[in-house]
Amino acid sequence: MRMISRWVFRLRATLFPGRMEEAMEEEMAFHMEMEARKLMAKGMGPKEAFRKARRDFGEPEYHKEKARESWGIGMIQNFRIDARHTLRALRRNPVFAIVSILTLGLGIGANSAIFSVVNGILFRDLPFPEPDRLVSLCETRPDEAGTCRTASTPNVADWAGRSSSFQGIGVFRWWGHILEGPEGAESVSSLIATPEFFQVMGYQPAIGRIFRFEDQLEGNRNTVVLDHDFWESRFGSDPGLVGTTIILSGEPFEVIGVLQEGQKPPVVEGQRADVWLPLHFDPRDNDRRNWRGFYAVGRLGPGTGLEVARQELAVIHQGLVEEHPAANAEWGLQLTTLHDRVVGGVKNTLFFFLGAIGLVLLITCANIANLILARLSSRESEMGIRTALGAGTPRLMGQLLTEGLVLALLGSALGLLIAWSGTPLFLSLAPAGIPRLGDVGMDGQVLTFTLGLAILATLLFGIAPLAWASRISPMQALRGIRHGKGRRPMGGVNGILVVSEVALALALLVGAGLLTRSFTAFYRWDPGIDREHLLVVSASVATGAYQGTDAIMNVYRALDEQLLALPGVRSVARTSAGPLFGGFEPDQVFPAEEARAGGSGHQARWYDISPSYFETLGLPVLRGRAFTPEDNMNAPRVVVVNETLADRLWPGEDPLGREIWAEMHDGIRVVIGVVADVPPLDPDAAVDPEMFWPQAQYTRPVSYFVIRTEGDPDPLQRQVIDRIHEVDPDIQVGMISNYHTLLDRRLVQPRFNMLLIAIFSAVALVLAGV
Amino acid sequence: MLVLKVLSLEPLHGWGICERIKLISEEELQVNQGSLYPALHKLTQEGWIKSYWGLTENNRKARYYRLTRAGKKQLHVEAAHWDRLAAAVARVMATA
Repeated sequence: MRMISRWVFRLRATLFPGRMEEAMEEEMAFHMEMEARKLMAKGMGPKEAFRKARRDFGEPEYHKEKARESWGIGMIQNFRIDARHTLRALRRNPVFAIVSILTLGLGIGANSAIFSVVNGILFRDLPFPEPDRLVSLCETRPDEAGTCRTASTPNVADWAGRSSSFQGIGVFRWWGHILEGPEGAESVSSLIATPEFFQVMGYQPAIGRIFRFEDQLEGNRNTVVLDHDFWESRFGSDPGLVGTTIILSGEPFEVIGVLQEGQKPPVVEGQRADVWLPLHFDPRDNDRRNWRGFYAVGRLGPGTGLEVARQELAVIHQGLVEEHPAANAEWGLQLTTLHDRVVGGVKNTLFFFLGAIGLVLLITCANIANLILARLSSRESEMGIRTALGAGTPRLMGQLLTEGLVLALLGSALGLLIAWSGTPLFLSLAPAGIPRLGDVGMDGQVLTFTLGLAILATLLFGIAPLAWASRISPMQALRGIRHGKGRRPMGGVNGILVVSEVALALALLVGAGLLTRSFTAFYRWDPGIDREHLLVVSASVATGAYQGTDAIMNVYRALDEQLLALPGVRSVARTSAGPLFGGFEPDQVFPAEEARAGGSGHQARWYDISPSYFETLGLPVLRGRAFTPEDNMNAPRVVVVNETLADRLWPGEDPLGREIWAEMHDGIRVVIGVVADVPPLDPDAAVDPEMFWPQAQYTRPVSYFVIRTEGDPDPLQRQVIDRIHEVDPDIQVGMISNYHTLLDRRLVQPRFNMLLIAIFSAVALVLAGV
Repeated sequence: MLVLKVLSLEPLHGWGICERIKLISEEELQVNQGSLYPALHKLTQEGWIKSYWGLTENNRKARYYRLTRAGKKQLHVEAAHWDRLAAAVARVMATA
């Protein structure tokens, strides 16, 4: 009750200070008038009576001030006065104003910009219904310290079937298809998923329908759902498309629906999906238990905690290990939130930047503190007079804090402007592969954060001046006036501030130095390949004119000849991918003897290549031989493995003549050679196990052509495209690039990091120097 | 406490409160006239008294204060407290 009346009173005083003032004025005047009347009644002259009444009453202003204090709005009142005073003072001292507001604007703006990025990527919900309940399920290997691997569909089916924690678990994976049409063929990114995946993620069709369970049964007609953007760009949002048939990699697919706008697969590989296809086999098929090629996403039941699900899954997984020891013995199971899975990779980097930019803010504050202290020395007399006139220490501190807050707020306003214009710049510089960049932007949280920063900054750079204000003695201050000289206050604090500024800037510089070093490590990358004279071209012969292995191989060979005939070309090779280009295609491989016994196998990246590939790239074949044109469909199936895979499959033994079996490429292949490892670009990464087989034994209508030139490869680019079109003008040339550019593209991310930290350091240095 | 007591008899304006205290205490107690107002504001804020605009006997507008229910309770508390204090002081003085 008392609380309420107090607050009502205060609120009134705050909202209508004028009315309160008037009332007080009036009642005090009334008091004095009454007193004077009384005195006059006693026979005193009116003039004298009023004077005495006034004297007896005391100084009205003093009592008014006391009364105002009792209103409890003194702080607000004072804040208004001080804020007005500060603005006036800033106008009088524009250099100080501009320098400090610019500095703060820079510091706070940079923080807000980075925060808006971190906020968008890390803190905002994933764009799916009830995202808290979405989880990622990974299979792990104990020797890989928690690296999240994709899962096998029968395992996922068993997790879903035996647990009660989940509403559903769906799987998906990326694939590539060639979409054929009257305008020619183009490669599209496809996503293969189970109907459960659609349910779990909450996807809905904009038109038509999404997958049903029947769609994934083998033997049923092929169906496809289109991405909204793809439908728009490729088919002009034609609603009549549903029910028609499109040709994907030579096979007809019926379009059954289009997803709603903005519905995208969860970003676990930074890929888009143009077309969505149903899984074309029964996910429970036990024969595929060893094919761990699928991302599994689950939706927890309402109210089910992650830990509960984790414990339940651990038991189920143990059961699966016992039932299928060959496939599961060496595997573990990891359950994380989908959010962690999506942003886990960039979390540390982002927090690192947030920390770095926080240092910049600290430097900014130290800087402002210094400026304020310098200015205070000339205001010591002002403060002294105020103290002498009765302003208590709290009042002076309040004034200093207000001055700081006004500065900080002005700086924040500028900072928001900087952040607002700077965030798009950041995004345009940011490399592809950072997840959720589309979710980055200004919002209430960023504004709140900025306001919080302003207050934090005020407190930070206010500490030193406050400490100083609490020590002001009016005597000394006034004496200072007489001697007419200002003393720089708090010399010691000043030193500390400068030292900490330099130290913080140094910390940033060290960070920048470390990043630069790891960056130059990328430049020192030596794959054992002569990078100077290499041209990479991707070409698609999926024009419809070439059907079957022979036709495709014939046009490939024609292309080889045309390119080799170019002056300045030393050799030409084909491959499905190579170091720094092409996709990552992994498969589960086993020594053939183990596959029969049922072992767990190894994940290996595979390539289909032409016989001249190793020679053209300059990769030494360490044992056995490379392919020859005779390794074709009429000859035994053969494979070349890299050192790492040879060592994985048959440690310490001779791999030549051994047989391997690859999950997705049914059939036994004989190892005929071992090729040298290519060290990965990232010096911290391990070498992937890799295997190669001849394109003549595994033919796809898309291939990269690697061209070794005598001199500078760039002038040849035009001729290379012309020669390809001489063979067939319908052949699509995708990318064409020299090897340096390929490397450059991969360095965008580390360069971006380095650039960012360099900018921070530069800002820090400038600030520390001011 | 004195202000509360005076107001418990009848609502008064500021000057009236001063006069009443002087009158009742037979000029023994002199209220510092100016300081009365901050005190009145304080009491209002506590919710013990309430102010309203009224007319004096000679038809002049003045701000009157009256005791609230919370103020009556507070008066009892303070009066009891004062009684105890006064009695204690009296006992000490009597023994000396």
